[in-house]
Amino acid sequence: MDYVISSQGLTRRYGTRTVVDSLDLLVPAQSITGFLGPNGAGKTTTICLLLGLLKAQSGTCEVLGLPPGQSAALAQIGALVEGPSLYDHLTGRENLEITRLMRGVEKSEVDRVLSLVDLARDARRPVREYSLGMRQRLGMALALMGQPRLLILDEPTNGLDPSGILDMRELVRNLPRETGASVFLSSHLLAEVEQVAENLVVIHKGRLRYQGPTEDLGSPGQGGLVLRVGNPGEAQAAIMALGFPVVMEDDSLWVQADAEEAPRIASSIVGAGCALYELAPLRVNLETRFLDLLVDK
Amino acid sequence: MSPMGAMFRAERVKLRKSWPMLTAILAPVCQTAFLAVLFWFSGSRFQLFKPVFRFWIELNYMAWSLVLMPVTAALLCDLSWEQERQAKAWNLLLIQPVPRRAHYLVKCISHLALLMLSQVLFLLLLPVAGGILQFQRDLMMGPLPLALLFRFAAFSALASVALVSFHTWLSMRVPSLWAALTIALMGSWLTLRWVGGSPLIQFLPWGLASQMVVIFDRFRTLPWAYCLGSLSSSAVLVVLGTIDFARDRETRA
Repeated sequence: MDYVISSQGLTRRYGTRTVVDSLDLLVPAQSITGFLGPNGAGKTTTICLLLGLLKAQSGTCEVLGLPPGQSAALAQIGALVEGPSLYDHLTGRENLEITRLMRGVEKSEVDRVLSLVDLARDARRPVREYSLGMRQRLGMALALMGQPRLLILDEPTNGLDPSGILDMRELVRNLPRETGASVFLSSHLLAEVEQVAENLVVIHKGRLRYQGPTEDLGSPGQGGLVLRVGNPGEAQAAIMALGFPVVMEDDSLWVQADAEEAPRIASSIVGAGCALYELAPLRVNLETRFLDLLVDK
Repeated sequence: MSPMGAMFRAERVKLRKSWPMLTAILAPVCQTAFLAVLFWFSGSRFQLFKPVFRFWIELNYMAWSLVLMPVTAALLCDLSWEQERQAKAWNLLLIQPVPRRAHYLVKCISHLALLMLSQVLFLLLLPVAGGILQFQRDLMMGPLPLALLFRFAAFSALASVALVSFHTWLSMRVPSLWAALTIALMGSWLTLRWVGGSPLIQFLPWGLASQMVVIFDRFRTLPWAYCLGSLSSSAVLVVLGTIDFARDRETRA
């Protein structure tokens, strides 16, 4: 598998405080990777390290196969760090023109990114008249300039209203398919990234807590089985006779057993004369797993 | 287009409708207008300094070099860096595929270009305002001393290089308008006291500009030989500022 970002032991300290602690990252290419962590987890610092805006005290990292801050890599990266960087006295188009000139891309690129973020109509207005959502979209347009291979977005939905969040989500979701770009999307909200990200990186207090596919964060197996039966009391007795701990709640039973035990449990319930309406692996809620990862062990 | 050429064009876009641009335009207009009003209403008192047109240019260039030019340089540089800070622009600019040192060099040259724009305006305004003052018959302005005007303009243009190279670095390091203005005025005042003393004065940022004070001594001429020292120290300041900017990336991140 190709990786657009890889790091080993990436560490950054401010004085005695370690903000990023031995971070080993692997971000796959042509996918959306959510970078999750509560406020102050070290997400923005990590992004600044990846972009070469900050220097790591130890560890190594590569972005698009090159050390951070190299011009050859920066030419293929678009980023939105700590909110959009905009000159308020200039129009949206003029702000884009500055980045266009620096990246040495075609003039038509300004119109392309303006229409992508739906700002073409307001492009000639001074940015000081823009709403928060429009500013955020313009920041996104700046990041998209020159069709980068990798987009690094630091909390791009900050300050957006629900419809703005929806628009931004759609824009990000379509990027890998439409442009072939990889997206590294940081957020402190699981709900925001789980809907678009195929992979997740979770950090807390600068340390890596999870890295892998989004669906595996709420993976089955550990939670056991959940059953809905006609006669819970009798079913509970039948399952306990097999040696599995059971908890009853209303007409449902939670059985602490592996998924492979499901057929044996089902036949014992049916054998005891109980009606079995549902038997499924207990899926741990993604949110619960995420919050579990943030608990200091 | 070369990367540096593109950066200059980008810098030109940033300066549209900006405070640094407004400062560069207003500074010569304000000074010329102020002194013109003073001359107009002074009646025949300035006849003592005949030919008055010459005195008009001398007085303007002295005030410009000792006060307005250092103040304008300080304002331009501080407002220009502040514009980047307010826009949180370094998060965007430093992730563009251009060398870091180019950012500083382009800034420095843009500041110099703005101050040159100011000086060109000043050069154009002086004969125009002097021409208007000729309508005030009590002044007895006399003819326009064109050679003197160009000589002063050239000297003040050379003097501005050191001021810009110093203030570009200062304002990058110390983000305070009041600090920049105080240092500009204090520097000018202190250097003025050493004019005619040590030749080392030429290496100070205000050294060449303060030499303009000698123009009232008719037996002395402007010390053109000092220009070399001033330009050399400017080059050193630009190199040091560029190294500082490229090395200490985190102050702007």
